[in-house]
Amino acid sequence: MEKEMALNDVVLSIRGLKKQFGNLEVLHGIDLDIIDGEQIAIIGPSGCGKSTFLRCINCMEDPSAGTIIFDGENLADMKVDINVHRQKIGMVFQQFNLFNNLTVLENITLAPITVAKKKISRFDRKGLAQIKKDAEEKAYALLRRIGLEEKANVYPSTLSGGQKQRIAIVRALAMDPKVILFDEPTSALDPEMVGEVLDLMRSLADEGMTMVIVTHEMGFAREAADRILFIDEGVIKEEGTPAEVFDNPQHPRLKDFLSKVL
Amino acid sequence: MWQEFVKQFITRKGYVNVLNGLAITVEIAILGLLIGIVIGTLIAIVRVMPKYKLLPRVLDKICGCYVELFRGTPMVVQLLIGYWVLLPALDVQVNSGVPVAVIVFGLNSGAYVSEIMRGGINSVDPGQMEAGRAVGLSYATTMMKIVVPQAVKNILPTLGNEFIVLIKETSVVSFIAVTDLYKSFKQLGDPTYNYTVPYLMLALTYLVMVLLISAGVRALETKLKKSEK
Amino acid sequence: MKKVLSLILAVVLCLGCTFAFASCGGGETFVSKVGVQKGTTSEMYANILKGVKVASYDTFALAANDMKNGNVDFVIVDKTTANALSSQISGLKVIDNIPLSSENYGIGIDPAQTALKGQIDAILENKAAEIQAIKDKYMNDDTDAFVGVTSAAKNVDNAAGQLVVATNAEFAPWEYASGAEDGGTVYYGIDMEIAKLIADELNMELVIEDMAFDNVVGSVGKQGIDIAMSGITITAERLEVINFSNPYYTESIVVVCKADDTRFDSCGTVVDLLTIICVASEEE
Repeated sequence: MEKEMALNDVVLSIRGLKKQFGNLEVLHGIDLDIIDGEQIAIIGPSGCGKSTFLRCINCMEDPSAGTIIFDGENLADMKVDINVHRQKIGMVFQQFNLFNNLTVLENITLAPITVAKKKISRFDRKGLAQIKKDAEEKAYALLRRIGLEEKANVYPSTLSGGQKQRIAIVRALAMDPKVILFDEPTSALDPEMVGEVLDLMRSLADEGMTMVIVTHEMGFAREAADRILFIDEGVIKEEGTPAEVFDNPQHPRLKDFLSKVL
Repeated sequence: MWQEFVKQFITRKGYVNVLNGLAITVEIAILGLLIGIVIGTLIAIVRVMPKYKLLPRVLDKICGCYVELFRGTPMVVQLLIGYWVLLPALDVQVNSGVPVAVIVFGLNSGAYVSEIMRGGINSVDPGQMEAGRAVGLSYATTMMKIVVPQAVKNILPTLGNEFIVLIKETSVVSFIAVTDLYKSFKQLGDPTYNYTVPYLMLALTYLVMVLLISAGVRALETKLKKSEK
Repeated sequence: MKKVLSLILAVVLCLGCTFAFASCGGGETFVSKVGVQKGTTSEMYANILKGVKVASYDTFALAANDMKNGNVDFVIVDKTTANALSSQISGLKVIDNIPLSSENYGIGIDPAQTALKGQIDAILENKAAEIQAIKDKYMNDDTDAFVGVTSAAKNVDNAAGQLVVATNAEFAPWEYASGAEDGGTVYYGIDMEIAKLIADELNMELVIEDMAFDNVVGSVGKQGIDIAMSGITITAERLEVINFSNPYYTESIVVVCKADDTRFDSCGTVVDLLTIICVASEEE
């Protein structure tokens, strides 16, 4: 019963995903179904391929083989308009990557406005104004949520790392994504700023946002994720609930890894 | 010497020709630079584009040839060929060499600006492009709205230099019967074959223009830096 | 690939050195160094002299000034220009009693316009008196009688109504610019006033296209240019490219030296002159 429901609600279905850089194969075939509303944490030693895997999901790195089914289309197929699908797959980077030449507000509204504009005539001035108004209202609402409303018109260079990363998350949220990919979102932060970012992610998780998180924060993974994937040597070596993975690890590599990080 | 200069410049209204020449020099340099920035940006984008597919590879080769062609030949030769060879071969006659000069300066400057711009684009953190693509913006949109504006800020001093180069290079347009600043000053010495004062004043005028441009570029830089704080 | 490139580079460098040495240590020695204006018949003349090193300048005035600086021994120029120049620049001496050669100035004409040569020749003949008067007033430096000529805006759609003249207006007393009228440059000089006369006779507007002298002859027939008037000597080479009117002036090429240079004082003939400035060519 539970499994059937789960199948119906698969957001992203990945099969046989491989990635080669030149002659070096870093992912050897990964299968994963991402269920609507679940939070998956991906852990593993440095260089194991976990970030590469995450970046393959929205084709920031083009997969060498395999399929990624999203919205009924295979994202790994070069003929698919990847831009349309990326609008529904948010991504948060380790280095935040806020647009340096735009204000905080523009950072959040650029993509929604650009996307909405494509759907109306270039000469529909009223429509354009409405789009801008809607996008800004939404951006303000999101900024209010993270308590950074007063930063709407400043440039990213004036913000702290924690503020930048929260705004980067809000930028992803502004597109109403079906899933958000987090690529080590707290690794570049000063320790005192990790908390504010994790708090925001936790509150998203509580609201049922589908999230895939590559992280070194084992505490956060255990507490906030529904499912933990342990990737090592380019394959998923072990997966399960946090309790299974952290309290009763099976694979020797996972045991070894946990003994080092916990 | 001075008396003769004053006679030619003031009494005989040589200053009218100098002002006309100045306007033409500035017009050719500004319009040339604008065309150059447009062409240069397009070429730079083509040249930094990922080259998985055939089309970008072909475009890259074409742009590469274009850049080598215009950087590999002197501006004056391009001007002479354009005005005296190419247009007559196409059976095109023009009323003035100025538009031809603007186009040639634009094409030439495009080749240089493309290299400057390529460096500028490469100096922008690749994460900016990734972030743009990740929210679903196309390569072109991300390039034009995110990467190029940041690149332009990085290369502003170099672009200012290119403008200065263009201003000074306009002196070659007298080859196609255009009277620019250089020619108009030279005319002041022609009736008496005495060029000492006209040449000194010409040098001074160029110098003042270049200093003004440098100051303008610096002001613009400061303003851009401030606007992102 | 790199090896091939470096090999080619090495060969080129070797060749370059060989030529450099050849020209430095080479057998030819120069008796004198002469300054000329680029692209003129004086330059052609100087080039056929043996044992003469020719330095080409953008203008006569530059050549003359460089001679005063000691970088060339003397300058070869057209006699009219030489006299105009020496009245403006001090310290020059024109050896104008011994012409090196003489040559005919003609009006360059677009060969595609077959009727034009006949029309212009007729005007030169019928208006001979006026033309002589123009020449005289400039030769005598009768400044008050000079009449400024302005150019109409070139309009290629009205080619039949305009006489477009190519010139290099840096060449007093033949053509030069001075001042402005109604926002446009005013041109003076023998050629400019004759051009105006011809345009009036043909009932056309005069358009003056002022360009580098190197381009003047080649420009005829291109970009709507009908004729060229820039003190142009009729030569066989030029006749291959353009038509010429009948000669309207006979000009001599003369030597200009520094005022304190006495080497030419005893010269009576061209041969005397040439003995001083170049090597006799009997070995050939």
